[in-house]
Amino acid sequence: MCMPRLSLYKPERGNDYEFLDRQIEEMFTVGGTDINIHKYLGAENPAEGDATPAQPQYNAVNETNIQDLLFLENRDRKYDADVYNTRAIYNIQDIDFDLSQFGLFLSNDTLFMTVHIRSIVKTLGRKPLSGDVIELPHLKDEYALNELDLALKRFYVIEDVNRAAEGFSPTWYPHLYRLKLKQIYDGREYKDILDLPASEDSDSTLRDILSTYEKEMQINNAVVQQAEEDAPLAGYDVSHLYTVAYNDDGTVELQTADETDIDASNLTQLTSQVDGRPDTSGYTGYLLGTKDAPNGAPYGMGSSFPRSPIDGDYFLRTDFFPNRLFRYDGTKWMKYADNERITLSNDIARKTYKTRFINETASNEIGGEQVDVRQSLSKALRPKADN
Amino acid sequence: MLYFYDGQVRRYITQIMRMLSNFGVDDGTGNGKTVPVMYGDLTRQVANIIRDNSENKLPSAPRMAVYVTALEQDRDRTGDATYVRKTNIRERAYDEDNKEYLNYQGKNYTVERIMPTPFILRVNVDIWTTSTDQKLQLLEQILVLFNPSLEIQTTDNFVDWTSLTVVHLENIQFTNRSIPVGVDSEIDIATLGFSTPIYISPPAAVKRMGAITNIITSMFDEERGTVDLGETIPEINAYDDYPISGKTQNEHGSTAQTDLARHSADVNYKTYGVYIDGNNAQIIARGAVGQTSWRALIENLPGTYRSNLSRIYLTNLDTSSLLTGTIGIHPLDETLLTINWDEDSFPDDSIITSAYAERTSIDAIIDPTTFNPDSTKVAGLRLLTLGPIGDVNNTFGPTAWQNNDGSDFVAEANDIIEWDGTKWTVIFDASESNEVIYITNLKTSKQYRFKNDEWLLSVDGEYPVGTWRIDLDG
Repeated sequence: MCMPRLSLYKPERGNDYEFLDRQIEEMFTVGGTDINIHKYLGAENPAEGDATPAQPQYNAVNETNIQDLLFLENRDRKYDADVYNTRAIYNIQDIDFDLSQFGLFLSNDTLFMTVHIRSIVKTLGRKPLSGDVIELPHLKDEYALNELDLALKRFYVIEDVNRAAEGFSPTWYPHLYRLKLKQIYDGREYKDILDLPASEDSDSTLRDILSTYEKEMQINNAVVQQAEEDAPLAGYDVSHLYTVAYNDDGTVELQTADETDIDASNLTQLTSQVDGRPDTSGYTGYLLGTKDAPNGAPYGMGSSFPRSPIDGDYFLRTDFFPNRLFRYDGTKWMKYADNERITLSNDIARKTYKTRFINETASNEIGGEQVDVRQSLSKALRPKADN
Repeated sequence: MLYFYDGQVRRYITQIMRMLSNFGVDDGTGNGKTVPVMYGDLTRQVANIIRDNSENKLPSAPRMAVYVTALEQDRDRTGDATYVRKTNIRERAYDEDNKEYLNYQGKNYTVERIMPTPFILRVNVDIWTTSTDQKLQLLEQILVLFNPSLEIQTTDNFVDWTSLTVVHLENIQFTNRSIPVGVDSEIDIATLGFSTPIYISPPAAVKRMGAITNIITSMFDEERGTVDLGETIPEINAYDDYPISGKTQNEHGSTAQTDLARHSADVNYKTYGVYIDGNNAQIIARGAVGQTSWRALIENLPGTYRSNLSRIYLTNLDTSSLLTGTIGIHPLDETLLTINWDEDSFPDDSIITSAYAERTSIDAIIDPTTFNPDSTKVAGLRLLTLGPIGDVNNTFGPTAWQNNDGSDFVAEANDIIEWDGTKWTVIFDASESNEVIYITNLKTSKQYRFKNDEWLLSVDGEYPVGTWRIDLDG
């Protein structure tokens, strides 16, 4: 009878492995730190009408689904509403901030964390996956510069998972996973997590207290506001400048008390006015026209000219695009100016020659069907299914 | 050098950031999320404040960062550095109390702008996105606007001739990543390179409107093709308070032109003249006096009319001195301008010498047929008579005008006479004088002018084209 050959390695995980694994698990219990795991469930399934071959609708949400088969990315990630807790160990390291064009980033923010394989698989029900988000409760920042009473949590996302070299026991079997972690950002990918309440009884979401977005938008809006103050509208503002009215012979046109055709009942005639009303602007340049009459004169507006106008009346036709200001010269309505000054900001009011195609919100009834005027060129008038 | 800073490059950067603002991306729920745009070269201190001074704050994505990569002088666009362009601006009147513009004319200005210096401002826009799809969403919205460039404006000020420019999209770097990515995934940044031709301007000169409203005279001799040097040599007028117009006298009276240039230019607004009658002025237009409203003229002049502060200046054709006074349009008749004369501007009185005294004034103007000098007769009394006194053919003259020795005194209308204590003497014989004489009547303090055998108020008369002007700002 001969002794079996001494070998810690066995084809199957034996008692040695079990013994060591229990010791290692205990070591994590004793010396590790809690981590809360937001389990990635899979990419959000698109609605049936939105699905395309490259962005298909799957039978079920599954972590193996790929949302965009062209760019190979999962943008709309679904996370488990439950938060899983386990223990992990990692080396605390000093971090610095990198000042980038987008603000401060943690320079060496890649953490390598080890977790006990059996524990985490038992907890999660599967192996940790790139996309799982880990919260480190021991890194909460209670002293952040905000007006909230809430501490800021630290979130990381798993980038890669592999077996840790130091997690192999003498049995040659692995006991530890090495998780490569990076700090998450406030993006579409983590919407499910950041929409969670910041605390149990809080109205704020995690995004509200963690993201820099609000502050960045405040800064951006302030800059846009400054730009709008500098140049509210395209072209040049001549509304505060004065235009002298002239008669045909070149003399200054006056409106005097001895004129016989002044109609005191006419609302557009001011008793304080001594000058005539100019039939052309005294200023020429690029985009000067507005809806306002020159020299602050009153004017009416509408989609049809008023009856019984008097010489010098101004009227804004709002059915013209751009709106057009007319002046009545005693016999006919003459164009005075077009309201061509529009905002330079990228809002929906901006309707330049090009942006009016982008900011079009109207729809037409065509053949009894409401048809949006604005349609993507690739989708406009595509044939409908006739099967 | 005086310090000046107008934040010109700052305004260009502000507008470029505005140009890139308000673009959105799909946040996964079908709603748009506006992408913030910020200046890329921020300070570490502000960056810490944005992060609430905590390493746990999450940067938001997508984001855009704008920063200047170069500011280069653009030699191709350099122009005449001495070129000055003037613009005349009339403002509407402004009500300081109610903070609103009114419907009549206010202040007038001339703005002088000197040639600005051209530069090319190069700007990068880094776009941080978290997915390729998101990047394409943003790029599609931005790139479609550049065909090949987009206009921006730094101000909407009418006088700012540098405010309008364009932004050219020069280059696009789709990603900063190298493919294959490798072990570590950097954040994905697309970079758009823009250039914009800009100007940096020195301050403008804002002055009271300097539009030419009066051409005093034509210096250009059209026959000879020369310029009248007499008007162009500054030494001639260097020590005068006011420029003196050139003028000539011909069979039609006085005209405002130099001796050389017989081709008088259009002078004054609509070639109007002015007729002065005491304190009233009326416009002479096409030979008609008092048919034209002063309001029509004043509305056309630079400046703001202010009753009794605005001034009229008239060049006295006899002495070339400048008469002036404040003006007000008559409230009931706008063809009348009421003048409150500045008597210091009147011409010097003429000295009239007699055996008794040298004086530049008279004590009164009298009608000898109704005035008895007995009670006021003191030695040195000087009077201007409106009618004749006595007659050489009379054998017995008026008693009141007899000398102490009982002899008659004879004088003609418009003569100035003097009582020397014993007898009357004619010290200015109007029938013999061809000169223009000025004297002041001490009784009324009014100045009179003797010309063409008659006495008139010294300012009265016709002031032809080119001899008068109005300064609304006083």
